[in-house]
This record gives sequence, structure tokens and C-alpha cells, in this order.
Amino acid sequence: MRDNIEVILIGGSAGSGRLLEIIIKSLPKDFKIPLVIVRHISEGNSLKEYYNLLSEQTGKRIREVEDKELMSTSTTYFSPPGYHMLIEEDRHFALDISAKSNYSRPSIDVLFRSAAKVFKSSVVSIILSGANDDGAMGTVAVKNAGGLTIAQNPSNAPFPKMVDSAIKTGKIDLILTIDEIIYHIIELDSKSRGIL
Amino acid sequence: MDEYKREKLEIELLCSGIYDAYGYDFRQYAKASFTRRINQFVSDNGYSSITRLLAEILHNEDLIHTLIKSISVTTSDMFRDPHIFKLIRATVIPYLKTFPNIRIWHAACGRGEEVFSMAIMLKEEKIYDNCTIYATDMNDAALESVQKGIYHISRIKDFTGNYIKSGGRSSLSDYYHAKYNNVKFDNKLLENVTFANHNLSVDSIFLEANLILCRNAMIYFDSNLQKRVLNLLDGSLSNGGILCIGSKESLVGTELAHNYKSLSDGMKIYKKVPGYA
Ligand SMILES: C[S@@+](CC[C@H](N)C(=O)[O-])C[C@H]1O[C@@H](n2cnc3c(N)ncnc32)[C@H](O)[C@@H]1O
Repeated sequence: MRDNIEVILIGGSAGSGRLLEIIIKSLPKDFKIPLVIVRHISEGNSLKEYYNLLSEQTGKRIREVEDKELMSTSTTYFSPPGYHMLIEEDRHFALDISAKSNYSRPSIDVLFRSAAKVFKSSVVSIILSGANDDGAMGTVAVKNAGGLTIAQNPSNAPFPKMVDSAIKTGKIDLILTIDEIIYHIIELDSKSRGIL
Repeated sequence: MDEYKREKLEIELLCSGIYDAYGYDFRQYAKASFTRRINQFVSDNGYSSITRLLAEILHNEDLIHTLIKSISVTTSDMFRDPHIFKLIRATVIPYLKTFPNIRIWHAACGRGEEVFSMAIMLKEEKIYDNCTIYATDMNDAALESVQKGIYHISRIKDFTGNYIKSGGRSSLSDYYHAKYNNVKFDNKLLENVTFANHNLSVDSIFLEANLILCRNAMIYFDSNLQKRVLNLLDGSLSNGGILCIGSKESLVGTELAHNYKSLSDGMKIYKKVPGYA
């Protein structure tokens, strides 16, 4: 198992909201590795208040990303609706309203590709439930850069299409249930802090 | 050589080549999204690498314009962020009314949605005739398209929704004619508008304005270039003047933060009040 993970990327679309909440709530308070999440939601629907609420409930730092914000540990980042979210080499986030990718903005592919460039083998990517193809190309980029790629088990996904597309690329390392995903990333986190 | 290292080097060479040859300065654009748009252009046009594209650009001047047109992000909307326009109507217009001659600058105006939105509002508030409006962009194709004032009919739903949310006083359809799949906005709205090519990363101050809108261009710049542009905007704005930036852009951490007072919490619209904070 890897012990140098610097970031965990998660892409989710239809049916992923509840799953993301379960994951976030299940991680220990001292979870260190930053989670960077693209979730497709309709434009104009800022979920900032929801993130604040979730933050209060869990005692964790959960934010909607701002342009040029520096990525730091022990934080969960969500993309703002309507913007692509990328990560720069110096670990700042960059937002972008250019063309949609795969009919999506934010696009999971765009995030995964840019993170793969910066973090190479120290990135983990996770694809959750969704009814489109976004994330498949990004999964390929993560894998080719040496990262670890995970897909939610399609039989547990409310909308399996996105997971299926990612799996079809042949670049998924692990197909896991939500419980297994949680278990796995907690272990990765402990490992990267030398606890295990 | 590592694929990403090579890409980084190619982007650097491309930017310095374009700058030396044509004076367009992309060296301080935020790298990740700039690289993404260049890669898109390279693959859409069948170049085998970024370096091949650079070679072509150096030998073919027309290509630089094609490139700029296609990598410029011109995504916009009429009355984009309608709450901002609502606030402008309620608090900025009364301020502008106190001047006999009003100068407004749309910096990085894109394809004109913002220019038309503002012009409509100025007409409705009956101060259009006192306004001199400057609309600038570095992208000539965008400037030409503003002057045509033509948008696809599919956009009318969003345009109209925003117009209503912004507190429009009449009906948006008073300002355009639909023809086939397009709508064309009334040329009278552009009577007081002067168009110019102005590049925020290399050009300098050319006016003193009462109101400047510079939205959604700085987001593509790195923090150094953002600082340059903010200083340029600051130098172009009269004391007491109003500066409006994009919803994901910020004055935080710049010298301007001390001299600009937000008109409304959390909104990216400010009044220039030297020594305010
Ligand atoms: C998304 S549009 C903004 C339109 C409008 N201001 C709005 O917010 O809806 C961004 C524009 O910035 C222009 N732009 C990018 N870099 C520029 C620069 N260095 N100088 C001037 N304009 C620039 C692009 O050509 C594009 O038209």
C-alpha cells in the first residue's frame, strides 16, 4: 500500500450527494489528506450553507473552493457550481469558466487531469455514482501518472453509468463499496502519517 | 523526458515566443487552465505538439489571431450576476447621476453581454445620454461581435430571467429583434460606446472613469498579473468611483483592499475611498 498520498480526488454526479456526506461524516476528525471533490450540481445552486452546516456537525474544515486558494491538509474542498476547478503546480486552486467538458462544468476530468500533473503517483481518485461519462478520461490520466484509481462498486451505485465508464477504461485499480472506500482511505491516511 | 515537464517547458516557450513575436503576454496567465485551453487547440487543429504550434505561429501571423480567438474564454450572460446589476441600479446609478458627464469602462468586455446589459439599464434610468462608455478587450473577434450585437435565440431564456432578476423596468424584448435563430440587439444601445483593443497585461491607463467593470478576465491570471491589472484599474478610476470585479475575483491581499469599500457584504462591487481601511 502507498504511503505518500497528498490528495484524494472524488468525482460524483447523480446519486452521489448522500454518499459524499456518508464518506465525509465517517472519516476521523484528524483525517489529514485533503479531499477535493467535484460534484455535478446545477449552476447557481451554491451549497455553501450546506458545507457550513456539515462543517459544524462534523467539526471538520469543509469549504467551497475560492480562486487562488492554497490547498491545505485536514480540509475537504468542493468545487463551486458552474466553474471548472483545477490545481496549479504550486498547489493553489484555479477556477475557470471555459467550455464545458463532457457537458459538465465543473468537470471531473478537468480536475483529475490537472491534479495528475501536479501530484503524479501521490494522488488517489475515486469515481462515485453518476449518470454520465465524466471522470473516465480523468481516471486514465491519474492512472497513467502513477496514481491509485478507485471506482464505487456499480452494483451499489444509485446511477452506475459513470462508474461503469471509468471501469471500462481498464484503468481502475480497485472497485469498492462505500464502506470499503471509507476503510481504505482511512488506512491510506494513517499510513501516510506513519501511524500504521 | 517526463511528459509533464516537457509540457511545462513547451508552454513557457510558446508564451515567450508569442510575446516576443506579437506582444501578446500570456506568461502570467494561470498555468493550469491556460495549458488546458492550449492543449485543446492543439488537438482540435491536429498539431502534433505545442512546439509545432509555436513554429506555425511564428511563420504565420494570421494564426495568432485564430489562437487568441479560440483560447479566449468569452462565456458570459446578459445581466450576469443579476444581484450586482440590481445593486448598481439601486445605489450606483444615483451616484452617477450627480455627474454631468459619466465615463464607464468595460474592461475585458468579451462578446458584449455586459455592455448591452449596462446600456439597457442606463437607458431605463435616463442617464445614457450623459455617458461615454468604453468597451475594450484584447480579442478583436470579441469586439467585432459586440458591435454586431447578435446572439443565438437559445440564450434569450437566461437573458430574460436575469433581466427580470436585475430589476428591469420594461421588457427585454423591447431591445432586440428576433430573426431566424438569432436575436439582434438595438444598435442605439451602442451609440455612446467606443470600442478599442486594450490588453490588460501590457497596455496602460487611458482614461479616468467613474465606473469600471472588469469581470471574469482576472480569474485567468496568476496573482502577479492580477495585481498589475488591479493597479491599472485603480489608476483609471476617479476617487469615489465604483469598481466591479467578477464574483470569484478578489481585492483581498492587495493594496487596493485599503482604499476600497464594499457596497454590500460579499458582493464584488466597491467604492474607491482612499485611506478607507
Ligand atoms: C469571460 S469574458 C468576460 C466578459 C464579461 N466581462 C463578463 O464578465 O461576463 C473574458 C474576456 O477577457 C478577455 N481577456 C483575456 N485576457 C485579456 C487581457 N490580457 N486583456 C484584455 N482582455 C482580456 C478575453 O478576450 C474575454 O473576452
